[in-house]
Amino acid sequence: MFPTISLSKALTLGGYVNVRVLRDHAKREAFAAAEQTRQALRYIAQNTQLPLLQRTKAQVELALMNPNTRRLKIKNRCITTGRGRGVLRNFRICRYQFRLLGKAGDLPGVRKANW
Amino acid sequence: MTTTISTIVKLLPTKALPPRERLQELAKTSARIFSTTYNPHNARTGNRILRERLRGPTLLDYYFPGRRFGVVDLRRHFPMMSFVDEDERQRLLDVQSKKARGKGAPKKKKVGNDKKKKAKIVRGGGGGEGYVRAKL
Repeated sequence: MFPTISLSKALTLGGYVNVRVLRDHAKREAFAAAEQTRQALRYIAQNTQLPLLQRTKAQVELALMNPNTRRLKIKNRCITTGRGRGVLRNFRICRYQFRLLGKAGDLPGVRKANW
Repeated sequence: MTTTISTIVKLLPTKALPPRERLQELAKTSARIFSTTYNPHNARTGNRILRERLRGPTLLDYYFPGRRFGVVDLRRHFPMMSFVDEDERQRLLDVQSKKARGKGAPKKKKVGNDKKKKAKIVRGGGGGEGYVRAKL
């Protein structure tokens, strides 16, 4: 029915939390947990000196892994509003929050351009 | 670092080159001595992947893991002092004023059995210890 996803029981996040943020964080946890397996399989699959059967098996296993353990499933969201679009990577906040906080002087080194 | 023939050739003092086999031998020996990789045909060994750093810890840090310190924590750590929860006080004031204007929450229905439905959280499963499988 609904896709389920594992989430750490002792979940504590300092930023804004809504269901989308939680979902994204769960994907981050899944990725971090499976990263070493994934890299090992990638190593086997891409090593041309190993037998072809072994490499193919590694490829298949990689493809069969839970899609939530992929890095590309992770999306950076705004930590103050949870917004998924228009997020400035360096500040981890969305464009409107950037404007508000920047104007208030809460972001070091940021000020309104004037020329 | 890899030792290739071209780098060795650059280091040679004369322009007259020794035979190719000789140079390859030299590259092999130098790789053995300085414990570098000898890969004359540039075969893909997948070492690139082993060299990558793990990104999991950095990615987990994105949403500021760790609890926010609030009034509840202050009360627990300093039980001898009293702290005012401004948000809670304001909420109670609002509820009071709403009630005074006759716009409070309706009274609860009296039901015979007090069995309440609990939120379904399937624990365990394949997630391992310390994990909850939740519908997100």
